[in-house]
Amino acid sequence: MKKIFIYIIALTILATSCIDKVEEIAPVDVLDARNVFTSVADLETGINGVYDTYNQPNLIRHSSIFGDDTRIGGDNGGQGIPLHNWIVDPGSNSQQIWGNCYYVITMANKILEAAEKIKPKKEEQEKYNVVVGEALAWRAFAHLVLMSFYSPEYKANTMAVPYIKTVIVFEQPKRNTVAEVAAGIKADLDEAEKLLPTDGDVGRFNDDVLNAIRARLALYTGDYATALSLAEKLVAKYPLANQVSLRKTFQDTGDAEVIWKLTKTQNDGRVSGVWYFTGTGGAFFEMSRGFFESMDKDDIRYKINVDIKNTSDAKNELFIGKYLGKDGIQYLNDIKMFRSAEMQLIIAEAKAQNSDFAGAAAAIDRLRDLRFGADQPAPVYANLAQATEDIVKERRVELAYEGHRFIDLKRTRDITKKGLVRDKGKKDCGGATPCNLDLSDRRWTIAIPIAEMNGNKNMVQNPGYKK
Amino acid sequence: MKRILLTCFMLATVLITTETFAQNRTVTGQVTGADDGLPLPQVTVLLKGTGQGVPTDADGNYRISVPAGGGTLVFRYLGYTTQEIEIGNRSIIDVVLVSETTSLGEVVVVAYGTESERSVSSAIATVSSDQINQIPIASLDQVLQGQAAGLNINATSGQPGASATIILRGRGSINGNIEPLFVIDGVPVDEDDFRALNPNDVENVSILKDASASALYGNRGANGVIIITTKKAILNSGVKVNFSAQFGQTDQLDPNFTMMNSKQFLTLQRDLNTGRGRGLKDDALNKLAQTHTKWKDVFFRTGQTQDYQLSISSGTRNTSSYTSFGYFKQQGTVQSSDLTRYNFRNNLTTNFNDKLKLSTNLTLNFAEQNRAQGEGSGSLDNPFINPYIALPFISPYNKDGSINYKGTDYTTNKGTNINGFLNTPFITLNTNHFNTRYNQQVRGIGNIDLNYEIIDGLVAGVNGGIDFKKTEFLFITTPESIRGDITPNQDASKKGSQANSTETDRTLNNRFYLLYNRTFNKKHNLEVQLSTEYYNRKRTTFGLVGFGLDTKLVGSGSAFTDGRTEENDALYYVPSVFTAELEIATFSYFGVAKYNYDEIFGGQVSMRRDASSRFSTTNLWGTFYSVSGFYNLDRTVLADVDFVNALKVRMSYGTSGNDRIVGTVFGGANAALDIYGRGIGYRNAPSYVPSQIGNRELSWEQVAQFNIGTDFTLFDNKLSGSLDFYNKKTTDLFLSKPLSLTSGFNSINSNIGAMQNRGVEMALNYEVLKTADWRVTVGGNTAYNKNKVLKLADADSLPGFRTITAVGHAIGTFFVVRYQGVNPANGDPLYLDKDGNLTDDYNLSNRVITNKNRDPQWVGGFNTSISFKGISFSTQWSYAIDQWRNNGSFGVVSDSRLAGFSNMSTVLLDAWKKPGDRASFPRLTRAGLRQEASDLFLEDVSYLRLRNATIAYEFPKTLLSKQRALRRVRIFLQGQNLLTFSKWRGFDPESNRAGSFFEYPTSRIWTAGLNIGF
Repeated sequence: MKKIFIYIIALTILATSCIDKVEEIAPVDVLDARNVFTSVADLETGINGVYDTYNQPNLIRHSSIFGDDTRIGGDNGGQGIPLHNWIVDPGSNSQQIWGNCYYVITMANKILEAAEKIKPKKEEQEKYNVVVGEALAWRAFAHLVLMSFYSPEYKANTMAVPYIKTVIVFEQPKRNTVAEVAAGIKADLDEAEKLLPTDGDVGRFNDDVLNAIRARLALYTGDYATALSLAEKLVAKYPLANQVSLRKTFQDTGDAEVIWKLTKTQNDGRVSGVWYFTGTGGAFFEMSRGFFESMDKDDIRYKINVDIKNTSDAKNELFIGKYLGKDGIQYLNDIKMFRSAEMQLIIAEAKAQNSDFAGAAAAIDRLRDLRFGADQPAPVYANLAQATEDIVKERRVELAYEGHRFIDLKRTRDITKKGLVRDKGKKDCGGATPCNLDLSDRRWTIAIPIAEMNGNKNMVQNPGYKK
Repeated sequence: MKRILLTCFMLATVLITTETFAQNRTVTGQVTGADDGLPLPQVTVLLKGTGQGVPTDADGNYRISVPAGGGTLVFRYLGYTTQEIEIGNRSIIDVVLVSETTSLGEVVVVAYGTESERSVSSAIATVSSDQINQIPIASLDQVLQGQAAGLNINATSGQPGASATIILRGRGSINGNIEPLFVIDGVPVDEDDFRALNPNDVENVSILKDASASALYGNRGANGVIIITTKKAILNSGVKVNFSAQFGQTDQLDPNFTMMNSKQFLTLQRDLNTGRGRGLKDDALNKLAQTHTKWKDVFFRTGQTQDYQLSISSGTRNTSSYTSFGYFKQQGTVQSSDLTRYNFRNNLTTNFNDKLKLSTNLTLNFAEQNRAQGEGSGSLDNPFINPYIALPFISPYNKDGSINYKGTDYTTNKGTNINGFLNTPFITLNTNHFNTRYNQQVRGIGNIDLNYEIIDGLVAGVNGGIDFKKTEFLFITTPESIRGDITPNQDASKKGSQANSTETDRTLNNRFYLLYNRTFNKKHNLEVQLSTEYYNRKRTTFGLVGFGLDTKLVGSGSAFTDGRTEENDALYYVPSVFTAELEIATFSYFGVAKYNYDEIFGGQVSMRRDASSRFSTTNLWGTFYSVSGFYNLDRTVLADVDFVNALKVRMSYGTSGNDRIVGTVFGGANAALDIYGRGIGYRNAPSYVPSQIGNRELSWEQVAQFNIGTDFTLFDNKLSGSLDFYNKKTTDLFLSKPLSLTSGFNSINSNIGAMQNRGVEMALNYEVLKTADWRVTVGGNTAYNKNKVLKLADADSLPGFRTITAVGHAIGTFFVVRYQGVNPANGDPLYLDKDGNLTDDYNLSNRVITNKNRDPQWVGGFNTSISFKGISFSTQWSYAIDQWRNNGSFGVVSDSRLAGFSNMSTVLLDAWKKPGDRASFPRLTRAGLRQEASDLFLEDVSYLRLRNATIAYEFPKTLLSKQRALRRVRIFLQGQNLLTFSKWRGFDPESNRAGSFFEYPTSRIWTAGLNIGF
């Protein structure tokens, strides 16, 4: 009988020795969030993740593929067709921008929250300030992107998007108004301005970038005086490029007129992946013929927007050339987030809105002279609609494939009375691919994604969409 | 098993010693088994009514004293039908015992032990070695298909060695694991990897279906348990050698769809003004159409199968040993797809003395596999895409008759676009010819059991198991291949890449146990077991990718270009390296008590507590239990009913758990934690990125199951079978609770929701005819399962694109817009809207929940067997009924927008052309139908398949007895998947995917072989 007890005791000891082991298994290859941010250097590592995570190609994709600057390419096996055919609803083509921007905002908020608990040493203070400033700037910028795509309009009382300033999990935030979001952006930018350098590295946030964000926000929300003064200030500081230097900018061999860009390296996704199989080659989207034929061949922007080397008008192969690659990597380029050209176009638009049509025309003329490398006849605008239409046309050529086209059409369509029109005669549309998006179509505003509707009972869907 | 054998041995010894009185004369003879004709040692030979008996020796011979006036001899052997033979005047009586795979007399492998089938109170199905051995399918799990009621097994690929998906009694989880636990000789093993294991070593497979059977495996038993027992030698059985060999061929199943021929296709292209046919004049078109390539025949081949097995078993007084060697090689039906396997096994049992016993099972295996590139994807490297899309008017050959690995001027646009869609068949040929996708695996599974009988009936033991798996992967993209041209970069001067990685995966399982087994007053049988068990599985991987291969050194690391080499300002050749480590563990203690009264009635209760490393410290533990009972009516109320040989009713209820939160073994291993990952961030600087919101509250998913069933043998043992009803309810389902995306995440792993599976299972076997020469049997099994989601998170449904998980409906239910044919006026497709009205507006909001499901309502199999003297012919069929799948492959070749570079199905010949046409397919300009969530391509995949047919001849004993070397010779011819009946438009209906997209279909295999026993 004694033996049995010995056995049982031995068994129990052996048995219990394992319990601790079960409880102890911690991840090896990833970090327990509680141990991530313990120093200023950790915060910097965190902000590197934010810069890397923000996905501008999402905007470029929506603007170009949903818009009128592309057509289905010869090597399309179904890629992007629903977006091109305007299948936008809560279940499709609605989540990319929403999800990415709020993820960026969450990352920024987590860094800001962690930063509050870290006391920087004196020599770390500047680095610490930059991280906090950058996190605030990212939060502001991402909300501006969200608002531009998911708000039906940019009037003060229009429902925009939730402005998220803390780390949340189960909370169910309501949509804020445009005025509230704008106020949030401004407050964050003002706070960031106290912490960031005035200028310098065009690959990171600084005070000039904050001003560029403010200028774009002001333009969208109709604060033309602010837009004009900030844009003029920036154009003065970052002079418009000539033909040669603009081309270098897009080959990433120069930074002429770049206010802010996101530097991309071999490890990053390639921007042209929006239209090309970047690994194997082949374009599943090409430049639309309507856009191709609208450009003047003497305009340096034609040579930038079109892949001149491979495009063949005769074989009807029109390839997009804005991001053909750098440093020996095809289709990989830095993404230009703000350029003086946009500021110049903001100047023109703000002046037109203030009924200074001559001033608007002069601003456009100045840009065209530089782009053609020769004096061009100045446009003449008789009214706001005319001016706006010409400015939007100029924006199309200047800012092509940089993520503006869809928003530009959206925000000016009440003035120009022109919606999204693809050229049927030039075979840019037809069949399953629709040609005309009515001025009143619900899809001018992206649907709130179904995942958001499922996870947030306070969320209100955009007009016209079923839940 | 051991224990019972031992009991028999001891019983036999006792009987021998009582052989002292009333002897008048001697009867001798030999006992052999009907299934293989081999002598049966240790058969108990009893003189009826006297308690007098002897065991047979190693050669099956016995010698017994009987009264001069004769009497009746009873031959009793585990797993065989007991025979009673009138002695009469005979002095030599040879007996052939028939194995009773389904009748109630067998020993059944149950959780952590064995039981007499008469006293089992659980729903357990058994598959024996003769149903498994020699089937030339490389993956053991696939071999089980159709063999037992309730098992829904689907091969996921026709690649030799590919694992199957097994679902037992319906999908029990939405996010969590759905496959049963596999245990080989006491060691839990990966349910998705059997390629290195040898099915020929399997003695017996026991499928534990209900809660009382699986609750003892609490933490992993929620989806049932499949216990595999390998062969062992028997004590005192002498030396036996068995050798078998088979050779055969593997070929492709016939496609159940037709593609256009060159003329049809070029005409279509001309009509659509696209591709090669654009603007062609008639004579030019006809000239081009003279080439008509059947790409199926270019890509598919007839593969070879070879299989050699040698086994040696020996049993002495105290030690028995089973040793086997195996070699198996099978080529797949496409180039660059094969499996080669070497197996070794030794199972040893030693009794040091009456009290101390040791048994070990050890298997060492090596397998290597080449795999086709890109299978099951839209990749242009995928061979299985080509029978569909490859252009028929292009020849696969160069002018000199050799295979064209580059492409033609047309398909490559004069060499400027070799990687484009048009060049598909040549890319595939090239990639599979020049590039490598190879893996090799070393796998050892060992188990040791040492136990000591402390006092009479009380045994203490330790059981240690290890499953060690090391897999090395090698992927080479050679510089001269088409894919090599763009690897690492189009502009790089050195091309190609090589990826090596190694995965080491080991499972440790240790168990300590106390077992008390005693019979009181000859009637009260009691067994109590207490155990603790620790399980730990760890996987480490590391790997590297090198770029820019020297063409002469391809395959070696010496071929890599130095990572610091700069070209065009770029660093193309920077090698990448990685390592990873994942670990999970559970600790458990459990107890079970079984009691029966003279095997007439009885039951068991069990309780198990498990701690899983996946959950937070406060939610570690889960408690599972079961109760069950049985009653053998044949011994009591039905004792006088002649046609009933055995009839048992049983009932069980119990719970078990699932800790595999997202299904995969290591998935969700840290789901309780908020997690950050480290990556390459902005400008190549490191970054920390949040990757998961953890849930501290996460705990066990629980399954409660009620089962009522019966096992019976009727009509003079001719009809046997079982019938079971079950009701299984999963609660605390692992589900992703949706979060507002403004939190940065879309969901958090949670325990919410409930689901139910209810069903019926039946198995029947009938002996139609049995004479000295003839034996005819038929058998079958069927299972019906109905799944229903009872509760979800906040919403009533989680809609996918074409399927939905909705309360009140089965998981995997299709959720589609109903296609209603073609509008004769304009050729547009017509649909039904949500309310059932005809509309031409395709809109996602018109999707409705259908009664069609990706899982079959009914699955099963049946078999027939006819034998005459030494000749036998048997068939094994399997089927699935009421199962649906979206045919994505067919969708591609029905999408006229792709006609510029993809061949099209002949269904487009019947497309609408002009107003008034009553067409079966919409107008060709209405492209993109495959991307709609309609039921246009939703097809019924119900099938009936002749899984196996075997014809065999066993040389008669009389012929063999003239020489002493050969004990047994058998030759056979068999075929796998010989016939398939299904409406599915594809190669292979078998799968449980919701959608199909150019998968590797299972193949047809013919083999011929022989078995020799020495």
